[in-house]
Parts: sequence; structure tokens; C-alpha cells
Amino acid sequence: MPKAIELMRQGKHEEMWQMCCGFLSLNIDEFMEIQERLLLQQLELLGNCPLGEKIMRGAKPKTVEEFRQLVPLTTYKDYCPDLLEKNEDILPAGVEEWVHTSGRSGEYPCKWVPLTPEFLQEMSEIAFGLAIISTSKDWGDTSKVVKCPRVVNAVAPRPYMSGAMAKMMDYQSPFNFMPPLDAMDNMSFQERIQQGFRQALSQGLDGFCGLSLVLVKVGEQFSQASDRASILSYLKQPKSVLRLAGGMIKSKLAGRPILPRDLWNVKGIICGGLDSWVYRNKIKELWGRYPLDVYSSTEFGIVATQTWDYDSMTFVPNLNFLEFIPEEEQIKLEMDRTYRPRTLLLDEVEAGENYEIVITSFHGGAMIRYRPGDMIRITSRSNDKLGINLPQMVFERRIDGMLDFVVVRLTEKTIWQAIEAAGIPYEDWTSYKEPGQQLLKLFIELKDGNRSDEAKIADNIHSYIMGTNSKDLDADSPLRDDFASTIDFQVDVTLLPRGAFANFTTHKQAKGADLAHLKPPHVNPTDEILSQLIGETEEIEVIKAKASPKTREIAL
Amino acid sequence: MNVYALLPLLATIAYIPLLLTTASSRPWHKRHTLFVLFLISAMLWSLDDYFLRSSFFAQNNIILIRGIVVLFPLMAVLFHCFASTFYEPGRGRWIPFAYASLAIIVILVVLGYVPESVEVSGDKLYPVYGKGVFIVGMPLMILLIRGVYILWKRLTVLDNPVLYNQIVSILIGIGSLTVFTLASFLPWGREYPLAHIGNLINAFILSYAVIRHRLVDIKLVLRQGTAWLSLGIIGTVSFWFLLVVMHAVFDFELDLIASFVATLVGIVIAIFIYRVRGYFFEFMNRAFKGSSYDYHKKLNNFTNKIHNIFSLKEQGGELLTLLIMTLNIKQACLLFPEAGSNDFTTHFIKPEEKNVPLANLRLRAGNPIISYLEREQKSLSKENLMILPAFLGLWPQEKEDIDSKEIELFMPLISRDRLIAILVLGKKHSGRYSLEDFNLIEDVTGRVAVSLEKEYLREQLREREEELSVINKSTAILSSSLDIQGIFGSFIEEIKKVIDIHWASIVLIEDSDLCCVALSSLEGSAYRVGERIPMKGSGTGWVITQKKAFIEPDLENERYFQTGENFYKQGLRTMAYLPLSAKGKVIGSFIVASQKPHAYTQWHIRLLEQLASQISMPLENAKLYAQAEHKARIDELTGLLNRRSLDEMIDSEISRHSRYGGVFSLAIVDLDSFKAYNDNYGHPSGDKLLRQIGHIIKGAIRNADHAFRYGGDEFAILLPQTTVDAALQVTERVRKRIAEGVNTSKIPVTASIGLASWPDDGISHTDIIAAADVTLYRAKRDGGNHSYFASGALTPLQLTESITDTENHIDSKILAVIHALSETVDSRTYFSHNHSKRVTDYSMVIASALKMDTTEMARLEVCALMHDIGKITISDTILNKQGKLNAKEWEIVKMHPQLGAAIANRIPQLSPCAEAILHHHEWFDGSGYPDGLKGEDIPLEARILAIADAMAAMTSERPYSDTLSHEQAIEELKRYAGKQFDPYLVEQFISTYTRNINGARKKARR
Repeated sequence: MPKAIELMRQGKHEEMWQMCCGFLSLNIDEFMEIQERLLLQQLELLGNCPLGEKIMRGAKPKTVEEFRQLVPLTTYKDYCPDLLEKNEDILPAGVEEWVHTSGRSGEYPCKWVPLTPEFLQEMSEIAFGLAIISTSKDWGDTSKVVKCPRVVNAVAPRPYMSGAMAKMMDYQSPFNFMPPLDAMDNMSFQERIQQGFRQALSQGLDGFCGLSLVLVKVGEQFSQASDRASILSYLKQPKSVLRLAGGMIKSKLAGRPILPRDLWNVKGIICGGLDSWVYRNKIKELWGRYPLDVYSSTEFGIVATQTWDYDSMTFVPNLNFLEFIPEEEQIKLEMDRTYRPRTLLLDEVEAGENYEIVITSFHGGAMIRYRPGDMIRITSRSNDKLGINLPQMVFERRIDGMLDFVVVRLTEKTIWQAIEAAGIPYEDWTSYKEPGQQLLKLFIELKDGNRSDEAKIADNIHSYIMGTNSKDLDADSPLRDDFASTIDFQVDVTLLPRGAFANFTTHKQAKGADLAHLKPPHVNPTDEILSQLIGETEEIEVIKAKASPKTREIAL
Repeated sequence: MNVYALLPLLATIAYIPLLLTTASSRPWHKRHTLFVLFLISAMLWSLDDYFLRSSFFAQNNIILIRGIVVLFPLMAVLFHCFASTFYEPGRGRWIPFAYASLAIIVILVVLGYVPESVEVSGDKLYPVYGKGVFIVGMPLMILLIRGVYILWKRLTVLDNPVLYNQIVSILIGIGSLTVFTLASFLPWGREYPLAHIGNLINAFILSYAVIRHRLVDIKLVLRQGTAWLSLGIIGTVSFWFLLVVMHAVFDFELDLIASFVATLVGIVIAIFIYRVRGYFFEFMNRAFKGSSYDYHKKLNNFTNKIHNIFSLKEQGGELLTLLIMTLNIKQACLLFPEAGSNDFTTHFIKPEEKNVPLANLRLRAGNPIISYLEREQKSLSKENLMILPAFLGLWPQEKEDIDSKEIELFMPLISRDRLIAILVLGKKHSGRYSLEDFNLIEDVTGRVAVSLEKEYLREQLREREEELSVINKSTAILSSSLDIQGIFGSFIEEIKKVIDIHWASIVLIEDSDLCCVALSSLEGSAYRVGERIPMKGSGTGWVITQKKAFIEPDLENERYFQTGENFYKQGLRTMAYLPLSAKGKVIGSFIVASQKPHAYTQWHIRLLEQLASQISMPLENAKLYAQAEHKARIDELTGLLNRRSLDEMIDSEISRHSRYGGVFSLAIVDLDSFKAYNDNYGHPSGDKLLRQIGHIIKGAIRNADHAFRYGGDEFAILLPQTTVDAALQVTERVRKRIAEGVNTSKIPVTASIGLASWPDDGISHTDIIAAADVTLYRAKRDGGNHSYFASGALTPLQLTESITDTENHIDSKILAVIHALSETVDSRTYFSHNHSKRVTDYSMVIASALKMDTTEMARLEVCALMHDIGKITISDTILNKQGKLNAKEWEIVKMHPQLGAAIANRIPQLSPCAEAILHHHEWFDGSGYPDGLKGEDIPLEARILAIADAMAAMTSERPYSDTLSHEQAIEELKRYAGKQFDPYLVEQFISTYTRNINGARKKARR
């Protein structure tokens, strides 16, 4: 298999696009042909392994229809304890690498998932494709593709999937990750970020991979620090001095504080998760580009990605077999665990409908009709603007993350929309529904120096959710008009003490959790998390000994 | 005129065809536009030089020379812009620098810094450029060096042959221009227009690159036009070159004669060039292509004549051989669709060696490669296969397989817009596929596709005909008989005409095992016909479970089943198991084997599968027929042969013994007291007893004898080639075993056996049965549990004898009539079924208690059978009336004894029974009918019949009263003893009857 770097060296840019992003040019029939063919191969592999026999309960489906009829839907529990114990003897194919999640649900210490060499090979092309798309303006645009881009890597290292994905990008074409991937293992998250941007100041910056929040925070720090910025401290680094000087001139000419886009001409940003959507405008303002949002996970790698319009996402055909449980079926399933919901394939989904996604890994992967617990929305059957003839999606919510208040259904996304729309300067927030009441409990930590009245904030958020604007916030409910006057939906806001989230993060970090798992969930936090946030905050400091990078000391 | 002026003129003319063809070709892309602009500037540069040197505008020499100085950098900059379109993306094109340089040059020229002047010496011109020329030349040199460097670097990593050749052409063009331009600045070069030689060469190179390497995309027609125009220019150049040479050598004036001679020479040269061009090209081809040139020619000849080759094998083989040799590739194969599956499989491969990676290549139906070739109808390189999204559905193993097989190219063979075959080419021995190679392959495949398709279809048709012929013939053979093994040999012989078979078998499921029902083997076999084989661990077991064929290609390398070891020891190497399915169920397998490894191709398997599907139904039918036939000949209750079989076998034995001589015997066995047993214990017990008896008889007879169930409680034994004495020993054994071996509680069931021998006791079928039957009755009359033979010491038949003695001869025929009559009477009412027979049985009990002699017993038996004969005249309505009879009806019923007696009196043989029939309803106390006789005035037989009749009536189902048990009936008899019945006879009956019942129960308890 040719690598992207070889094609790039030969000037075969069209070929490179075809190899890494070619799936965008497929039509739905071609997409389904690929899905069917790869599923049949996967069934062959599953039919000859103990895990397949166990999950499929001895069934030997030969067609897609048989597969959908005979094989039950699964959750991670079905793969326990085999995957937790990394039992490779039962798997359908040899394992190249094991990756794990945070196990945030608390059921497992973490979810271990095997990745086969074939899966990684295929994923490496798609991952590099993301890098290409993030820099492009149109199909085939390679004007900003460089051979060894300088990228600040703010993702969790291996054995997290994000780390494996960065490695796979690097496999296709060398990246100048800042800091280098190999050095990341022994660094804390803050150290990684700091070192990454310090290097970027000196060496330049072509791209960024990681959480949108980090980009926003770093950008804001630049902005806030611009008044007291001193280039004297960089005298030993002439390149940094030059860059800072140039940035300062640009910002002065524009009559505003210095922004990251004054320092760097960033070519591409790849982010994942809900916050990409929330911070996209902020990132564009600070860094000069929208972040490319990717729908990915440890259990299934990459499922869909945005393209150069930074709008809805396009599905990837060759990593997982995709099924979709209609929302009404999913609700039945939630009420009755024995219910067997019908699933749809990608060529059967309808625009405007919500679906729970079900995936089956290709290329010898372990997950079979696995429910990762994500609800997505199909926005359209195609992206006519870009000429992409495949259904488009956006991530809607976690299936366990919906708060139903009869008159209004709130998801993490809609609450976030309301907070943003209310114009509250906040650090972070979390929320839950008071059992038996129509009350949204919201815990917000305001930014430094900001003081506000809890009731006033609650009123603002309430009026945004219930007001006419809320239709724009995706918070609408079919019962809203009938019951809005009779059911008393309320919002209760509790302002958290200063540093609540920072201390929580530090505390988690001290326990060894990594980047992706430092933050508390925005919806339905556990009692333990909530008590940590609202209780007396512990001052926790993570100190790393210089002599031994692996040593960690916690001082109270 | 300066004769050297002709050179720039030629250069100018050389650009004209190229300019015309490229300028007239639309659309113009960026590269195309730049190319046209360059051609114009290059042409103008040479034209300007021509005007300068031709002295046509001598007074404007300074303007012309300035024009030259401006046009040259303009041409150079435009060439740079054009060449930079071939740069790797991301390489700066330095366009601003180039245009800035050009602007500076123009300013220098306008200001007069360069050129300084033009010196004229005779007809020779010497441009004086001055020092300013270095300022002009410097930026151009920078652009040149950078451009060459970038293009050269690109060449080092490029593997696209088209682009490679285009860049090479550009580099050569740049090189020639540079070398000749620099040369013109040398002292000795100033006199000559050397730079324009470079321009001329560049024009030719670019023309070649456009025609051959599609430097810019122009239409095919225009490309050909360019070629001919270029050829014309070459001719013209040659002509003028010769003219110049001759002018220099001979110093002649170009007058009319000279021009004529020159023209003549030109024509000769043109004709010469035209004539020798073929040889020249061949020579050049040989020089460049070496030994492959001959193969090129052969390939060309082959493609021209392929329609004259009427064999797909020859067509495919030759095509591959020539392609391999011509293109210098390691391996190639041709895939054709496989009938039935639509997979594309290797039909021909070169070289034909076992370890060729392409051997056994198969592209399954639905493979994205096939879809792509069908849809796009163009070649597919391995590189594209690894890159294009259409192949995302390929399994990683499939991609690895293609890689490991060293496949470089898939070329579709298209006929009538359909993909008819795929040419698969491997790597070249050295280097990569060039554009020329691609063109050749495209050309060849395009020309051979139709012929290959025709031959392929013809071959398919031939195969299909062959298949159908084999299937029809072999199926006809198998359907011609129900004896599968008998015709299996012929069936296999027919298949052997097309498939190599050393051993074959049909194995069917029987219960949970397998049974070999047919076998064909040249040398021994792992099992025999009729042998039962465990299903587990066998190939048949696998195909029954999976319902699909299974092939073991070489038992030496791998044996999948436990049975494989035996087959391998037998010398077999390839095994094919085909499932036999009938009505949706797998009934067994058809197994064929060869002593050769890998003996069966897909075609063979498909044919065998079709055969298996064709023979399944005949096999199933044969199996069902055998089962039905077996069922038709067997009595289900006892497992013995039935009466139908007896009839057939008696006929068969008569026929056989008539032909070959000898005697045979027939025994009829009737169970004694079976009726009483059945009445006491019910029919299920009776059936059980009959099964037991059947088993005893089967065990007691010899292997050569046949046992039958004759009907009811009667059995028969046919003893072929057996005299009556020997038969008697057998029947005695049977009788004794029944008497001793049957557990019948208090009702002892024994057997009476009548034996007859052919031909002594009867010649015909009927006679021999009748003789045995009559003998049987004799045995029964003697109290049962006897074995009598018809022609032995106990003859003549006692019954016959006694009846003869009493003048009332009742022969067997009459006896049969009596039975028939009694059954007729009994059948009149639904509740009196078997009534007469039961009355007879009870009468016989009393007769035996009274120790009546056989004559009396025979008469009593007839009386009992006929006692209700008078009812034959009473209407069914009365007989079967559900409620009570009215007086009138009752009167009619009471008439039946008289009517019966009247009937008996009319038949001499029955007249002795008339009295008993008339009085069997008289009561002992005289209150009966019809005559009201009393006590012993009533005939003994009538008194016996009265008890038997009452007993039978009470214990059977009646519409007018409840059915009584035997005990209740006996109580009734006791109650009416002295009133209705003779008390003595009642006592005798009850004691005998009770004794029998108790004996049977005790026996049962034991």
C-alpha cells in the first residue's frame, strides 16, 4: 500500500486525495456495496473465532439481512471479561494494539478494545485524510498541505485511541508533533500544552489536534497576556522574538489585543466532541480557522467527519458497519431491555430524524452490533453544496444524557447553547434533572472576577430555553405548546466556588487520569463528582520531579 | 541574401504546424495557453532573425536586432512559465521575477544599452550586443538553472511514465536551445544563426512530445496532421540542406537550371524518403526495442489473424505468450467468467509453471475489481487499486494477495460493451510499464476481444452440450431401473467420458447412519454395498450438514475426514462429495474419487453437482418403491409375509417345481381358542398374541421356508423342495413351540395345522390351499393342537368321511358356502358381527364338555353357523331398529327359526341341522317358540345353541340392552338354568368355560 508521503513526493496530490478522502466521492450505492462486502468478510472471521460464536450465539449469518436478524445488539458488558483481560485467543484476528477508554460510566475501570493491523492501516489513511481536509478549501486542494507539518498535539497519548490516531497520521506522512509523540507519555497535560506552544512559538505552527477548549483557553491567555507581554524573555530564541514582534505589530495595527492568528498562520485544526461545535466561532476568531469536527471513539475509531464547509459530517464506509436504531425504537428498548429494535442502514435513514448508532468493526475488529450509546441526527441525505452524495450527520447526544421536562427536552448541547446564548462568562458547568420535579439543576463556575446573581442567571437561561429563540437551540418538544402553560419548568442555578473545576481536574490528574477524562460530565454527574465540585475544594498540586519524570508527588 | 538566413526561416516554418494544431484545439487550459504563447514568441524570434539576415529590411537592422533581443527573453520567460506547470505543487514559480526581468530587458533595449549595433560585412551580419547582454542574460540563466533543477528533481521521484516523458522532452528542448544560444555568442559562432538551430530542434522535439507524449492535449486528428506537416518540414529541411551544401561545394549560381536540378534532387530525395521510411522505422525500432521487435511484429500479425483461429486455447495461449515476450513481463493470465458462478477464473496462464504466482487466480463475482473494469472499461493498475475509493470494499487479504502475486495491471477485454475477459499482467523483468506498453496493450486487447468472446462462447456451448449429453444419458440410465446398484456401473461409465473417476459410490441416510446403496470401483473399496457407515467424521456427514459440495483436492496433503485414511490407502487422491437432495432434504451423498490429485476443476464439480441433483429424485423414488414394495408384501402386525405374497409365492413355486421337478408343502396354521382369548383380553392383547405367534413361527421354520399371515388368526408356511414328511417335522415344531411358548393365561391358545403337499394333494393353486385348509379343519375337529397332513396316514378326511356316512355329504365347498352364509346373516345387523362364529365357538365348548364325537361336533358346528339363517328374510329396518320392536315386528322376528329350518331343509347337506335351527329359541320350561317344546323334547343341538346364542348375545353390543361381562352373562345363565336353558348343559358349559378362563389367568400370573 502506498503511503501518503510517497504520493506527495511524487506530486500525486489527486491520488493522495483519492486514497485518504476518496470516500467523500462515493454515492450511497457504492457506500453500501463497500459496507456489505467488508461485513461479509468480517462475518467469515467472526464465524471462526470464539468471540464471534459467543456474541452471535452460534449463528452463522451469511448475508447482511441474516446478520441483522440473528445477531443481538451488544454493549461492552457482552465482551467482558474477555476484552478487559485482553484475551487475544478468542478474537477474530491478530491484535496490533490495545486501546482503552476512561470508563467514565463507572462500570469498568476502562474499556479495552483491540485494534488489528488491517484496521489501523485503513484508519491511518482516513486519519491522514482528516489532516488534508482540515487544511483544504475544496476537493483536491493541497495548497496548504506540507510535508512535515508542525502540529501541537493536545490529545491523550497511547494507549488512548486519540494517541493511536495521531500515530497513524504520522505513519502516513511524518508529522512534527510538538512535543514529539514518544516524549508525551511522561508529561502531564499542562506540560504537553505548554511545551507544544513554546515550540510552536519558535518553530511555527501548521496545525492543532486536540480539544477545542484548549485552543480557546490558550487563545484567551494570549489575548489577556498581550498587554503585559514581554519579548525580552525570548531573547535567546530569535525566531520566537521575531514571531512575537510580528504578531504585536499586527495586533497594534488592528487595534486589538494580540491573538494567536497574529502569530501563526494555522493551516488546519482537528477537534472532536461537543465543544468543537460550541467553540467553533471562538476558535475561528482566535486562530483564524474553524476546527474540523470528527466523530470518533475508542470502540470504533472514526465514524464520520466534517469537510471543508465545517458543517455536518460525512460517514466513513470502510472502518465499521453502520446501523441506526430509530429514536422511537430506542425509547422502546430503554423501557424494555428485552425488546429487539429494528435497525436501518445508511441508505434507509431519513433526514431530520434521530438515530442511535450501532457499529460492527471491520477488518477483524471485536465489536459486533455494538451500541456505543450515541444518538446522532441525520441532517440531510446529501451535501449538495459540496457535491457529497452521502447522508450527513451531526452528533446529537449521549443516549443517557437527555433530560426530559415534558415541555422541553434538554441535552448537553441545548443546555450549552442556552448558557452561551445567555452571555454568561463561565469557566465550566454541569447539570442534572431533579428527580420527580420539572427542575433543571445547573452548577456554573463563573470566570475570574465575574460576579452575578444566581436567580438572574437562572432567569436568563430559563427565558432562553422557553422563549421563541429556543427553537433555534434544538430544545423544542412536541408537547411544548400544549403544556407550556400548565407545567412549571424551572431552572435553578448554583454558582460554584472559584477553582471548583480546576481543582476537580487537578484531583483527577493526581489520580493518574489523562487528558480526555479530566473534566466532569456536563449532564448527570455522579454524586461523588457533584460533592467534589460543590464541597470544600482541596488544594492539590501536581509536582513533577525533574530527576525522575515518572515520579509524582501530591501535596495537600 | 545571406544563405544562413534560411535556418531561422526553417525554424519559423517548423513552428507553424505545431502552432496551428495547438491553437485550433479547444479548450485552452492554462498550460495550453502558455504553450501557444511560447510557440508564437519562438516563431517570431526566428522570423525576426530571418528578416535581419535576409537583408530585406537592411535599413531597419537596428530595430530588427532589438526585436530579437526582446523576443528571445520573452520566449525564454514564456517557456519557463510553460515548463513551470510541470513543477511539483508548492514549488514557487518565480513568475514575478521572470516578468520583472523581462521588463528590465525591454527598458535596457529601449534605452539602447543593448544591443549596441549590427556590423555588416558583405552579406554577413555580426550583431554587437555589448556588455548589457550580460544583464539580459543573467536573470534568464537563473530561471533556466532553477527550472532545470526542479524538473530534474521531479524526474528522480516520478513513476508516472507519461509525465516522465513529457518532462524529459521539455528538458531536451531547453538543453538544445541553451547550448545553441550560448554557442552563438562564441567568436566563431557570431557569423551563423546557431541559436535558431536550437530553436529548430526544439520545434521538432516539442512536436514529437505533443504527438507522442501528449505534452498538451490536442485532438487525435490534429496530432496526425502535425506529424505529416513535420514530415514535410523534415523533407524541406533536407532538401535545402543539400542545396546549401551543393552551393557551398560547387559554388554554382542558383539560376533556372540549378533550381531545376535542385528541385529534381528534392523530388528524388522525397521519393527516397517515402520509400525507405518503413525500413528506417524498422531499423530504428530494432535498434531501440531489440529482440522484442520481432515479437511486436508477431503480436501484430496474431491480432490481425486471430479471427482465423478457431480454438480458445490457441488464441489465449498465443496472446499471452506474445504479450509476455513483447513487453518483457514475468507472467500473465487470462480470466474468463465461470459458468454458473460469474466468478472470473484463470483459463490461460503463461508461463505454465506450477509456481507461477498468478496460477489459480480467481476474482469472485461482486469483486470491486470486476465492477470497476465493467463500469470504466479501462485498465486498472495496482497503484490505482490501492488508492481509489472504489476499492475500499476490497478485503486487506485480497489486496495482499494481489500484491503477493506481483500483479501490475488488470486490462478488461470488452466486446459489445460487456466485460468478456480480464487480462492480468505481472511485473516486467525490468523497468516499469511505459506509455507505449499501455498503448500496445490497449490496442491488442481491443482487437482480440471479439474473437476471444466468440471462441469462449463456442467453447461454453460445447461444454454445455457435453454436460447436457452426459446428464441426460446418465440420468436416463439411473432412471431406467429401480435396482440402483445394478445400473450404477453403466451410470459411472457414462460420466467417465468427461470426468476422471476411479471410485464412486452413493450413500444414503438410514436411521442415524449411512448405507452404501451403490458402488463402482476399479480396485477394491473402503466399504461394500449394503454396509452401514457411521455418519460422524465422514465427508457425507459434512455435506449433509452443510448442504453443499466438498472437495478434498489431495488426500496426500490433507485429509479432512476420518474416512479419508481408508480412501488414501486405497490409492485415491481427490475426493468429491456431492449432496443428494430430494424435496428440500439431503438424503445422502454422491461420492466420486480419482487417483490423481487435483483431478476436479470447477467445471467438473458443477457437472457433478448437476448430476447429483438429477439423480436425487430417481434415487429417492427407488428407495420409496423398495419401501412400498416391502410394505406391500409384509403383514404389519406380525412382520410375516402377507397373503398376497403367499399367493404369489405359491404360483412361483408351482411354476418352479413344474419346471425343475420336486415337491413343496404348504401348511395352514389356525389358532385354537384365539376367539375366546380375544374376547376375554381384548383386541390389543389379541394383536400382541398374534405378533408373538408370528415371531414363534418365524423362529421355528427353516431358513428356506417362508411364513405368512393368512388372515385373522390363521398363518401359513410354505416349504419349498420339502416332502410332506419333512414338512410335518417343521409343522410339529411350530405347533409345539406355540403350545409351549405362548403365555395366554387361562385360555390356552394352541395351533391346529393342516398340511398339504404339491402335487400329491392338489396341482393348482386353489387345490393345494383347499387341501391344506380341509386338513386344518380336521385337526381342529380333533380338538385342536394337532398337525395333520392331507395325503398322509390319517387320510381320508374325517369330516368328509363322516358326512358321507350320514348321507349328508358336506364337502369343503359347501362348508365355505356355510361360512359365507353365516357371515352374510351376521353382517345384516351392525351389532351381530361375528355372532354366528361366536355361537359356534361357545357351542364347541359345550360339545367338548359333553365329549361329543367329531361327527356330532361337525354337525353342531354347522348348526351353530346356520342357526340364524332365517333372519336373512327379515328386513334390515326391523333387525337394526334402535327402539323396542312392536308386536307385529316382534312376530316377524320370531319367524326366523322356522324360516331358517325351511332353508336348511331345502339343502340336503344342511337338512340334519333343520331341527336344531327350528328349536334354538325353545325354553327349557316350555315357554319358548315356535313350538313351545319342553325339557329334553327340545333337540340336544337346539338346547346347546340356546345357551351359546344367549351367551354370545349377552356379551356383545346390542341396541336393546346393555352388554354384559362374561361373569355377568354366566350369572344370567345360572339364573335362567331350568327356565330358559337346560340346567345340565349350563352347568357343563360354565364349568368348562370357567376352567379355561382360570387356567389362562394362572398362566398369566406365572
